[in-house]
Amino acid sequence: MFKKYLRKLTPYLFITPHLIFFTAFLAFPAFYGIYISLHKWEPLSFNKPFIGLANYQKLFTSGTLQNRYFWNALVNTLQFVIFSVPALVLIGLLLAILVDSKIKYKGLFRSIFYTPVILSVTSVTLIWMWMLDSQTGLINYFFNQLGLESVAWLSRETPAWISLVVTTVWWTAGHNMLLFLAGLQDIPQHLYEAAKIDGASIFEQFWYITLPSLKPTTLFVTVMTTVASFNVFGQPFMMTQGGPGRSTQVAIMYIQQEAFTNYKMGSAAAMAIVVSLFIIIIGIFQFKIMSSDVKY
Amino acid sequence: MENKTSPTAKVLKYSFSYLLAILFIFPILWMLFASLKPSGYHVSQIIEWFLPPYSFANYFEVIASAPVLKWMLNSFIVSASVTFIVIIFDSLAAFALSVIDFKHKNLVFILFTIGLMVPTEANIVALFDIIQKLGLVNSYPGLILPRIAIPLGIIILKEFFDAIPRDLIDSARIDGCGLFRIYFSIFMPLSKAAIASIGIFTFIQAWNAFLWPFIAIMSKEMFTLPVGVPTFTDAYTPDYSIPMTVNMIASLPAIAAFLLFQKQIIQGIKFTGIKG
Repeated sequence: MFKKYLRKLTPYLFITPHLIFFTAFLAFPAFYGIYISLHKWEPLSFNKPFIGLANYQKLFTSGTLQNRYFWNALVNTLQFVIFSVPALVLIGLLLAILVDSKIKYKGLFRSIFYTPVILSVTSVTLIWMWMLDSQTGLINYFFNQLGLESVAWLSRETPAWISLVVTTVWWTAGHNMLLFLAGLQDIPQHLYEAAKIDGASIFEQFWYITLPSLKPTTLFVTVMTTVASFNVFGQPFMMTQGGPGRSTQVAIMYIQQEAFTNYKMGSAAAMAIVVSLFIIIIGIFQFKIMSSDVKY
Repeated sequence: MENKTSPTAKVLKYSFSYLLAILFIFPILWMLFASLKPSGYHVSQIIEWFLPPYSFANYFEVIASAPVLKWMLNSFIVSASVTFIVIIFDSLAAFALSVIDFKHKNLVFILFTIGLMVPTEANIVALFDIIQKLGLVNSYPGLILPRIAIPLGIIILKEFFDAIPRDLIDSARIDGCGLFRIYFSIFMPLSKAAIASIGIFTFIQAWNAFLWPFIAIMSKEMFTLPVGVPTFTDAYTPDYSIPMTVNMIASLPAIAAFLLFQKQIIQGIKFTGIKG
């Protein structure tokens, strides 16, 4: 009797250790976040009264601070997504093709393109803040050598966006490269051989074989990159502090500020939920569009 | 692919590749060379950053004077604990999901999959409240526990376990092996490569984590490296040698891990697509 009971319990012995932490620190916070968002939740005050959807209303009523800054941050985030995702996907693909082609020292090239990926966001931003420094930076040095004026990279709006995107591309393009590389190596060689017999040029081969075969990889890379770009925080936080003004303040930065500087946890939780919904909807949308004619 | 490429195309391709490689490696080299220059080093020409004299004085200075070693220890304790626990817990759970039949198995699997899509960054507010109520703010467990919750390793390992032939289980069963024995003596050894790459990724990700440690750690003593490193920059002194030295020290373990385990990392990405 006891043994039978034990046998029934065994699967749960395997799964429970992780399930406890999953529930406590991932699943529960997701719901708890919704609960917090329905309260006036300020850690310094003793009462945390239920206020229904008021935190959400503030976001959607024009005239409130939250309304102005949140949508500003969300639009900035979208802007970052729109500029960085195509660059990250295309450059990732380009690097993969280079590394996959017949080239000497492929392994070395692959390592060089991938190395920035393993650095932390603080290392990356520190290096690039120096590269982009308007006085002592290398970029302006080259600009001057070419007879161009120095640019205040991090303190003017357009250059600041360019700086953030360039830094991000340098940091993470290598990751997409490896994903595309795996996709490229899965393409059966006989397709290329058949195409060559039919007299297809390199560009025709690329257009009619490589690109269509990479479609599932491209879909995966695009969705993952979009989600990652939506969650951008460290680069603007460190490099521009959201400035000039609030022109590069992104969603996670404002949520962090609202929660831990303004101590308005309820309001911040509501924003986090709106942002999550955005990410999920855009992810589904991308998936629908791009998978509509994926053939495996 | 055997393509007849014209010499010009070849030259173009090579020069383009070398140019890209220089663009990618240059910032890292700059960090390295700057760290080898005496603090307060003055240059009138950029090229001087790269020319001798070199010295390791900054490294000794930083290690002797600053809490960098303590931060490195903090980073190491957190990352190593996370990696160790993730490997054990995730492989156990993946084994259950792949091999054992039990009630609500599909439900658990779907839960894990949905859990992967919850943007961690969006969870920080609620997570902070929970960690605070548990009294874990400013502590190692406060950094370790939320990372263990991520079910990515389970999803990947389950896929890997699914590919192991079921005959092996049946014959082990006939020999009288229990489930735990099968897990430990058959599945774990057969999945060494997958487990190694999950371990390396988990370690590097934990080592580089910034947002959560930045929020959950209050005292300088408890900083991890990514949180501590920026405190060395001073907006008003244009001295880059010391910050870049700290930066090098902070990056070296990850770079070393990458160079040592390159094969596993690249192999790992191929069958997982996980973010480094």
